[in-house]
Amino acid sequence: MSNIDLASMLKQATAAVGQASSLAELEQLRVNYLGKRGSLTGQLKKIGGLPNDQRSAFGAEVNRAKGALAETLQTRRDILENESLLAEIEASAVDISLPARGLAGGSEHLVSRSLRRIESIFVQMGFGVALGPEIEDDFHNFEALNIPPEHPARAMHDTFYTTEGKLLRTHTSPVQVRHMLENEPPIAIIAPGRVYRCDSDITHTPMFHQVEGLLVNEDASFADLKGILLSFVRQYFEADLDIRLRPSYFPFTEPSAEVDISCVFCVGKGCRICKQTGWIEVLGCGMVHPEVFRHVDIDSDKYRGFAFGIGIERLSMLRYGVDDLRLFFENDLAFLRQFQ
Amino acid sequence: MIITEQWLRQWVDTELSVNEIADILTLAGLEVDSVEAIKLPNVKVIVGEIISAAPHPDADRLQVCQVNDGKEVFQVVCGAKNVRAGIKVPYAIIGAELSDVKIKKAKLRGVESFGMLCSGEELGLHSSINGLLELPDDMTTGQPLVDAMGGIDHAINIDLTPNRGDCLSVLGLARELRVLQGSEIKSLPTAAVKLASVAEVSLENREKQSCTAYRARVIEGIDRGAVTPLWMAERLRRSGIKPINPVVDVTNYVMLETGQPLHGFDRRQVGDGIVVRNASRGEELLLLNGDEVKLSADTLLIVNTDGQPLAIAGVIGGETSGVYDDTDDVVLEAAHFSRTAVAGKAREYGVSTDSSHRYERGVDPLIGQFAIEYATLLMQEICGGKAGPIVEDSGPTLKPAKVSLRYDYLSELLGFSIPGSEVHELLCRISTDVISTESGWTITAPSYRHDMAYEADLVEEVARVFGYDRIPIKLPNLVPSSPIAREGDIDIPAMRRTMIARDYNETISYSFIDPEWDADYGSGETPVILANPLSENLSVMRTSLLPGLLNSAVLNVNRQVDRIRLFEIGGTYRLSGKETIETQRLGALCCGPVLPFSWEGDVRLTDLFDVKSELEAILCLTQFPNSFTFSKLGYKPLADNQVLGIYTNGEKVGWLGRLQPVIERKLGFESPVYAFELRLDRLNSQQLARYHPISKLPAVKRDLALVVNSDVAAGDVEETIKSVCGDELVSIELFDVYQGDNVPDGSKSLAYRITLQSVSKTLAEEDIDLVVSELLRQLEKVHSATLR
Repeated sequence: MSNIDLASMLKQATAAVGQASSLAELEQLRVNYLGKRGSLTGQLKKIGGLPNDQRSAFGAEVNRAKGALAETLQTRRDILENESLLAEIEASAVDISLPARGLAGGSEHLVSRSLRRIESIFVQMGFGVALGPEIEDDFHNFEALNIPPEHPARAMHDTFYTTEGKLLRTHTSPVQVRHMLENEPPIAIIAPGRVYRCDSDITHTPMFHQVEGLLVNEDASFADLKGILLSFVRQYFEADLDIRLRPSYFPFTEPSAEVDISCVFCVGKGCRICKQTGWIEVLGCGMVHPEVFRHVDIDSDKYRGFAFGIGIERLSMLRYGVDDLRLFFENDLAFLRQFQ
Repeated sequence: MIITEQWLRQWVDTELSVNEIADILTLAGLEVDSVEAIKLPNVKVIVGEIISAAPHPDADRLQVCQVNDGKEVFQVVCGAKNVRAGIKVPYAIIGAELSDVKIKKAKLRGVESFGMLCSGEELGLHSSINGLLELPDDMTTGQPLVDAMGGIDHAINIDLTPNRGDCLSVLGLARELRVLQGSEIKSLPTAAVKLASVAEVSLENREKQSCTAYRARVIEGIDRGAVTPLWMAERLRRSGIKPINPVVDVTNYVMLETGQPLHGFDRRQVGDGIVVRNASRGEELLLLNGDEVKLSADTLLIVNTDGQPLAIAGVIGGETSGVYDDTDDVVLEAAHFSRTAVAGKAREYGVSTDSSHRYERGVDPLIGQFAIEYATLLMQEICGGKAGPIVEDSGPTLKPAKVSLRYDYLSELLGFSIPGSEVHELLCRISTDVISTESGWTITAPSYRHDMAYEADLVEEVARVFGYDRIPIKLPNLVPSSPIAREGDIDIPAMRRTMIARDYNETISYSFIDPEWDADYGSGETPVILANPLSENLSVMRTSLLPGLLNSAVLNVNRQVDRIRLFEIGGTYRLSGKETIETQRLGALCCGPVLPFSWEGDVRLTDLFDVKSELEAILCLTQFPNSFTFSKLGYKPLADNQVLGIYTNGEKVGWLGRLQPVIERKLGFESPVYAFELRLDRLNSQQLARYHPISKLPAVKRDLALVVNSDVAAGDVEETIKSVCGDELVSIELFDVYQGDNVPDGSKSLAYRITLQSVSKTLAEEDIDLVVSELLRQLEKVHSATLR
């Protein structure tokens, strides 16, 4: 057996490998040539019949041929495997536009969503968040806030009382009282939470949410209050809205104001929602009344303060175009899932 | 409150249009809700004069009239009872539109008629008598009626804040415009009543704190047939008050114009005299509106000398003591009741009157004398009668408040300095008594401005008149305040995000619920009960979030939703003795398929272990997730053997389980309902999660298949394993739960893989064997567990 035979055997094998069309065929070729009894492997047995000086060269020649064939086999195998994978994918083609499997994701209540944004705006300005009880007493909800006994808000009609003589807070303002009683100025807090009024119709629910704001320091002014509110309104609505303050009356602030923003629906041009005025009322505010400072033992000659109260549902309705307050507490998934 | 434009213009001289007036008032804090044109007769309704009226030849009830339209005379057929020659009446000429009808030439029973003579009702005006509206003689014949009545007019509807009782009148608003605009206003007329009789009633005011002034006068012999003149009836109508009879109309008219509520009694009911006193408990009064009320002891009453109640002071008169068509002698009352005396009384007795509305907000204590004189004059003009002297029993005259304003305080509070001269001028518009002081000014508050007591009130007043919009905008220097939440506190926003990421929808339910729902689905703690709920089904404060979640779930079930996953974060309330305790909780409810509907086929239903996984995800937000243990619990709304209590540090912090199947069926659920609830106030920690060194030494795993009685809880077995293995325990995995062949009846097999590792040494076989044998000994002792 000569080197020529080895070369022709390798050539024949390489050709056969090139024509193999399946992995099984390829495996058979490997066994035929490179297996224990394979024909190429078999060449090594001939070494014994060769003269000594040729043995090593021949052995090297056979191993080279075996290596070359193994490489060819591997290359072919890769090709066939890729083809088979492609064929498999081809065969198992799915409609990838089918809906996803698994959890769909829930929804955040609009009140939480608005409150989260309101909190982050005020926290970024330097306000902290304070909380207080919802079942309050007369002192914190009314008396300390300079709401005299003859004030209409004191009447049974507006306030829920418990059989123990306590009441459900009618606003988040009692949190300012509690905070001022426990902390020294400077104070800058917001107080979000549930509030209750004995009132129910299309535009009133007996429970709703407010955020109270309070700032007390040595030089707080009405001009500062305007600045804080303008900044808040612009950040909350992400628009260059204007604000307008109208004198109003709250027993716990003096001067007091209602704050209007330019209508977010018509940008101040006048529409049905703003009753053609171009303005929408969004919140109440004012400078802390000296009587309130007296009740919480803060020197009203040294300190000034302002407070404001924001209705969260009201702001949410304007922001997201909700036109019925009652939707907030029905918990209809058709409503809730609109705000994922 | 509604004020009409014409009436206001009679008091205040201004060039401003009605809309400008409305804007000025709104920006000064007197919010104008609406300005609406008053509905007035069509311009083709003119003042017609009936020249003659003769019977219709063919109809008994009709009259054939000749009517002067100012230029010509037309024939008009009319069926009104009061038609007669010589009177002026509204005449709708051909082409006039009345409501939806256009007036055309017509023949009535063969007689031609050119137009129609009208009643007040047909014109949309008040009609005090049946038949034609009789117009005053001084109206010009032929003039459109609308012009004769003063032309177009507007109703200005103002939503006044409770501190501005002084503006609840035409006079009050005129004064306000004077302050805001410097406008000239009419001064109060001063004509005095000529006394024509000596008749009077006795007066005893026993409550001079509550009734600071009481005046009364007898007017004898009023004309029973008198009719309220058109001008007055119109002003009342346009202001939203229904004309009733001349005496009542005059009292209402004077109240609208001056702000002083007046009341007329029939003298026969008053008898000898009037006493002002508080009611005795249980006294009864039949009110004008027909309601019979039991009076509470702090109700101020007007009674006669026989002790018979005539009226609730400042609120409403009695049914029998009022002025009616058969009244001859009137006792006219002009009183001043304090705000506290009247506050809340109207609501207490279920009425709302113009009088109570004004007294609650403060009536000018100095207007009474003028108002009673003015009303007497008007009454005499309209229905005659002889006026007796005014009798009075009043407390000391209230001294108007003196209030000082420091210029520096004004500038500091506003954050802006208004020029001193301008402040001075503004103050002079507000008060007639302004004195400059070293630091600013001292003014005497007008008697009608009870809302000026503090320096801050004057700051508001000056700023308001100056214009809030002219105060500049600044931003305060804020020192960031310390965060109120600590790191170890449970992160509620993160909790909300976790629930949302796990497909739950956040709900918010009312804090008050139906007492039956609290009893059936609440925590069983003593609830806080509302004394004045909106309705019975909103009368108890919730002790658990479960009732609200169930209620919301039922709503969605009824709307054909089968997969429901809801949660709420909010307060629950209970009574402990007399103390109310509020606890924030997280509650979740889940029913229906575990995943959304899928094209791959059926999705299995949610079970307890799905919900347990949500709960564990929440517990992982705390600083101590490994401290929580679960054990069986009885909880009324939940199915027996399907409830777990959640504990940490030996305290129960929540529950998890399946609703009682009976309740599921009753509420209309078609698949099992699972829920959990967690107290948030027990999830805060003083300590933060701490780093434990990571062992580089090999970990050893041992598998143990234990046979225990079926009713042994795997959770309890796990606790035992934890306590025995101690710090070297890395994990326990329950990889098989088996019942059946090779396991005795009434028993089950629990297969655990326990991984042990030490940070300090490589665990040798002997170490492991020692731990395992101790473990088996304990498991046998505590749970009668045997190795399988």
